[in-house]
Order: sequence, then structure tokens, then C-alpha cells
Amino acid sequence: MMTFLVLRARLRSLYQKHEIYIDTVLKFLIAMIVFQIINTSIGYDHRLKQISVALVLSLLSAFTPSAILVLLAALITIGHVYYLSKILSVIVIMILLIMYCLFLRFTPKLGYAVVAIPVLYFLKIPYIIPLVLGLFATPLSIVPTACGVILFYLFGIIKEAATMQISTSVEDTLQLYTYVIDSLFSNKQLFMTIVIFSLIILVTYFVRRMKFDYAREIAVAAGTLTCILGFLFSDLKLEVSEQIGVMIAGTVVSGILTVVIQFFYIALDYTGVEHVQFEDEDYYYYVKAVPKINVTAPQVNVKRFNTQKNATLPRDLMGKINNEVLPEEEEDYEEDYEEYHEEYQNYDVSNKDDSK
Amino acid sequence: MLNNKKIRIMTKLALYEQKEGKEDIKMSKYYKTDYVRLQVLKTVVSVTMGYILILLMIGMYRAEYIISKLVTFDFVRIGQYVLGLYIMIMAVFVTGSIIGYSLKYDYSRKNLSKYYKSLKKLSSFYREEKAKG
Repeated sequence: MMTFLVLRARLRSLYQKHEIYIDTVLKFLIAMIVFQIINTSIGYDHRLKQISVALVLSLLSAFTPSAILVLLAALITIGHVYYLSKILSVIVIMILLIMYCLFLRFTPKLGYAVVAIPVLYFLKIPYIIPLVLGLFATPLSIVPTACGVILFYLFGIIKEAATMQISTSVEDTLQLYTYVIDSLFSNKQLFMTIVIFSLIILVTYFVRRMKFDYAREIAVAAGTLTCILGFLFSDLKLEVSEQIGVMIAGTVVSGILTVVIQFFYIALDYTGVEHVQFEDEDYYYYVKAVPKINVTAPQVNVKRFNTQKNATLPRDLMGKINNEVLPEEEEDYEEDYEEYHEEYQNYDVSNKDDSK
Repeated sequence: MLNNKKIRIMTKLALYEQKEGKEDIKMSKYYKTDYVRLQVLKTVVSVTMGYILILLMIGMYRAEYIISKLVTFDFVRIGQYVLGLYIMIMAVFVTGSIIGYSLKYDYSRKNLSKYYKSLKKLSSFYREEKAKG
């Protein structure tokens, strides 16, 4: 455990030093993966499929907020489908619009989940999304997750429809349309997946909210178990048992990845170096604010030299002397810092006086 | 002379203003009722659009049937059905968004109160400076 903690601390300081570059490069890589997966799975338009297009778009999304990546991914997908058949692209656009108008505009910060699920399905580990969302978000995240699942199955159907004979007559167009809608709504696997993903989010969320040690790790385990049992049930029921092996392996990998993410998340969340500019009437200030908080793991024992001295302090102050931050006070930490500093100094002085 | 305490407060304020406080400060320009009402209005517009799109999709799906029965349709009845469903969906979304956005507003107020506290501290610095001359 100790080596992991040291590794975490090292990574943290590394991240703190080069935050701007690491963020940009990571965003670029993620965007590149997303566009490559879109291109390999439904890359019908050879113009959009060129590597230079993917490169330019990835570069663009490396320097812009993550919402732009979601938008670009949607546009590229629509472009590919449009090349294949106009009516199919109209269906995709309409379903996307309905999703946005009725559901996604209420959870704007979780838009990436909609893109992540189809992309991760391609890598066989979509289960990581409900696990991570259950761990870090609210049950409201069921909405974008469900939309992502619907999109994944929609593209599966479109791929099938692409093999059909497509002509431009009105009758064929309507037939294609009814085919897509029929297969989307009669797809039991789609509805089972949505139900199971929602269950995973709920189980993970409620377990991690419980007040016992390692609640977060146990929540991941419970979510993983829910996932395996749920998909086992649905795969057997729908008789698609050839997927079971892949599903179990994917779930286990997702669970492990979630634990890793959760382990580093606490370290990386509060480490961002901030650059701010402001002015008063005398100066311009260009401030680089480096966070000072040291989040120690609860397992680390801290030796107290003078128990008597600490025993008189209130509990929250005691934590500060030992340089450990309780999770609920992390937010308030900065604000309290000054007051505490003064208090602590006063306390020291008065203590010395006593000893004399 | 640089005043370190003042710089610290100003940095804190600037950080809040540029990051998570951006939306809070925008929201603070509205009264709660106005804010919620605006959001509900936006919701109504978008839900209406979504509903029309869904109707359009259903219409396309049933196009053949609709065209063949166009003459014998009881349009009043269908209209009532469509309108009733619309009102039901709208009621759900409007109630949801009233609750959701009220909670969001209250939450942003809580954050803002911290911000105002720091602002007050800053203004007290200025008062002290003025008193010194």
C-alpha cells in the first residue's frame, strides 16, 4: 500500500508541475481515440476518414472544453451516416435532437458519458461508465448513460441497415425508416442494458454513501457484482450466451480500472495549479496559486507527541495539527486556514506561558 | 507596499469568479422566482420541440396507414389524445424543473455567501487603509 501512496504523491507533484501540458496531451489522445473508433466502426465517408481530418479535429478539441469534443463526435458521425444514406442521417439527427431536448439539456456536465459509452463498447469495457458515475456523480446520471446505450444500439442497427439495398424511391426510404425504428424498439437487449446500467449506478451510489470504512471500494465491488449478475441473467434469458465470457472479463477489467481511477482521483482533484490575474489601484497581480493540501490516506498512523495537548483541542483542529484533512472539510479548508493559523499561534503562546 | 493578506483574499475571490463561481454570479443577478421562471420557460420550449419531433417520427412510421385512412380519421379525437399526452408530459417536466432549478439556485446562494464574506473582508482592508491615510 505504501508504494502506491508514494507513487500517488509522485504523480501528483508531476501533474502539478506540468498540468497545462498533461491536460492538453491527454485531451488530444482521448479525442484521437474517439475519432479513430468512430472512423473504424462507421467510417463510410472516405473524406472524413482521412487521418488528417481526425488529427485536426483532435487538435481542436485538445484546446477547447469537453463539450466541443462531444459536438464534433456527433457531427462526424452524422457526416458518415449522411454519406451512406440521407434518410438514416435524418433519423440519427432527430433522435439526437429528441434526446437533447427532453433529457440531455438537464445534465450538461455529463454529456461526455453519451459519447463514452459507444466508444467504450468498442473496447468491450462500457461497464466502467456506470461504475464511475455511481461513484462520483448522482443517480441523475442514469439519463445520459441510457442515451449513450441507445446511441450504441442505434449505430449497430444502422450498420446492419447499411448492408441492405438502398435506393432513393420513397417506398424504400420509408421501409428503411420503419426497419430502423422497429429494430430499435423491439431490441430487448437494449432495454435490459439500460435497466442493468441504471441498477449499477444506483447500487454503487447508495453503497458509497454508506458510512463505513472502504465504502467506495466496496461500492465498486457491489457495482461489479450487480453488473455480472444482471448481464448473466439477461444474456441467458435472451439466449446470447456467447457474449458471457467477454462480458465477465470486461466487467472485471472495468472494476479494476474504476478502483485505479478512484485511487488517483482524490490525489488529482485538488492539485490543480491555478493562474489568476487581477488588479487593484496600485498593482497588476499575476498570481500562480499552488494548493497546499496534503491528503493523507486514512490508513497512515500519525504519532502524537503530546496527547494531553491535543486532547484539549476540538476534533477538527486536531486533524489539522496532524496534517490530515477530513473529507468533509476539504472544501472549507482554505477558508479556515487563516483563522486556524492565528488560533494555533495563540494557542502555542498560551501553552508556553502555562509551562513557565 | 504589497499587502500579503489582501493579495490572498483577492486571489481567492478571483479564483472563485473565474471557476465555479462563474455560473453562481450569473444566477445572482436574478431573483429566485425570475430565475426559476426563465428556466421553466426554456424547458417548455425544448420539451415542445422534442414532443413535436417525436410526433413527426411516429407520423412517418405510420405514414402508409395515415395516408390510407386520411379521409375517415376522427381528427378531434386524435387531437384530444395528442394534447392530453402533451399536457401530461409537460406537467412532469415543469414540476421537475421547478424543483431542480430551485434547488440549484439555493445551492448557488450558499456558495455565494462565502464569496460575499470574502468581499466584505476585502472592503474592510480598504477601510483600514483609508483610516491610516
